[in-house]
Amino acid sequence: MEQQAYWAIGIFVIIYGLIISEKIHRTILAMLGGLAMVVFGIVEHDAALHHIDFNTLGLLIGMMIIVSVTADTGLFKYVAVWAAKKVKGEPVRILVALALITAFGSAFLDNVTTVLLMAPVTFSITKQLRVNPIPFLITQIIASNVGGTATLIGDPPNIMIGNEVEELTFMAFIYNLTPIAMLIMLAYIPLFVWMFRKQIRTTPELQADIMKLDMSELITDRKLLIKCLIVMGMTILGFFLHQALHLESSAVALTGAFVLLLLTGEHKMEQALTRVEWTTIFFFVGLFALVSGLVETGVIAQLAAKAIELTGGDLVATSMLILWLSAIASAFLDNIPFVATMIPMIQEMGQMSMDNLEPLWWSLALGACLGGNGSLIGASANLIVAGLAGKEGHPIRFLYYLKIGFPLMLLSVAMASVYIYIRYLM
Amino acid sequence: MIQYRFDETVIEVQERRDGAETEFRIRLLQAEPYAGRMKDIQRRFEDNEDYTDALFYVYPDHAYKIIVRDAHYADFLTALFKAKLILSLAWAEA
Repeated sequence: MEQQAYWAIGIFVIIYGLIISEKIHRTILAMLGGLAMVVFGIVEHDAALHHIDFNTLGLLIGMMIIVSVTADTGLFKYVAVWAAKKVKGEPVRILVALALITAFGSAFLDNVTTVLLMAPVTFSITKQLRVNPIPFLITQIIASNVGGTATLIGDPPNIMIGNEVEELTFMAFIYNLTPIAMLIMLAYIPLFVWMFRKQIRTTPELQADIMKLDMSELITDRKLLIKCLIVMGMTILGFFLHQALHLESSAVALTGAFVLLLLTGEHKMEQALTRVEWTTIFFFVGLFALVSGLVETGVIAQLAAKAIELTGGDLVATSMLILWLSAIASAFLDNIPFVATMIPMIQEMGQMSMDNLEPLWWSLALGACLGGNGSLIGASANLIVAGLAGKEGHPIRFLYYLKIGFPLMLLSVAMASVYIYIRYLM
Repeated sequence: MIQYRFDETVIEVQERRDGAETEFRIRLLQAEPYAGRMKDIQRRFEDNEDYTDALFYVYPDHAYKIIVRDAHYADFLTALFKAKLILSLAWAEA
């Protein structure tokens, strides 16, 4: 390897280590790491820019705008309370209903956004029933990571993979990942009930109180809701048709976002743009530049060659290695930098001896997304919910979550292994 | 301790202590203009970053249950006072 490659590895390892230590904000570190690759001449300025995936950024920004405007309508609270009333205020069934809503929401919205929308209504319902909110919050964390696995737009690893690999369209993700995500949720639901049923008991009087709630008061802005529902519907339809329309998914999301801002007016625009999670967007920008150092200096190509050497180029062994490595790594590390590193590695494998990369992409997506359930630090949504719960006086302990999340994560990855093997490798 | 007074022809207020919280049961006997003011108070407490400072449950016929954490008890009563839903507020000996 050339001297430049050693410099690139050094910068990457230092930045990665600092990200894991959580002493400095990950966005600052990723940006400094990416800039270091340029400043020290490891990557040309233009090459670093070329590696920044503006499609991923556009998709994230577009969806953040749409969701932030829709959140003002009260829609999410309405849906959660409607579900609670449908199950007659029974806590175990509410827990299942909210987990399913979270999973569905996470398939079409960012996981962090979904749990942020679900948390307030969860506190509200559990307070009314006088039950512990922690089982509800934990099942929502887990459901958000499973639901996010199901679509191209559900979880950042999928967004990154889908935008990097042209053949993996929105429909391809639905066709290949939605079935296994649904199977995993189906397997989880009886386990959720079994684990938490004794912790969430209430009285018939409190259940009756839920049934009496006035639903008409929950929607705060009906005109805005209609506009949001039309735009959200058109945007999701756009995702389904983006390949036929020859449009990138980011173009669909950004069109939806700015049409909605056109309909809502300038006052909403200021607010919506402020609510875009710019720290996440810049984290991605920094990471893309950081990983470009490893790509341009040939480090990724060498890693890919080593991985092929390790598995003998066998597709089954390589798929399983990627799936389990991604899952275990994502349980304890941020899955976004991990996936950012793995994508060029799999692309390199394709340029070497492996011609069928499809099982490898699905293995990476499943491992990275499902792995997030393994620990409280496995995914951003987990940390956000834990932070909110702690602030509201219900801390979720790392070990308590690990005892629940890690076995469930292993179960889901085992199911994913069987699925990958039967569907793509037999 | 805070004592308050309200117009019984406009509003009914009952409160019950429960641990570190107080549960208010409020019913508006005159919808206009008080229901709108109540909605403004609800929005104020729901739009901040503290999700459980005061939790609002709205029932038909302008009835409300509000669970208020102790730290926000005075804030909530002050909000009712500013909206002219209660007539007076005063500190009193416990």
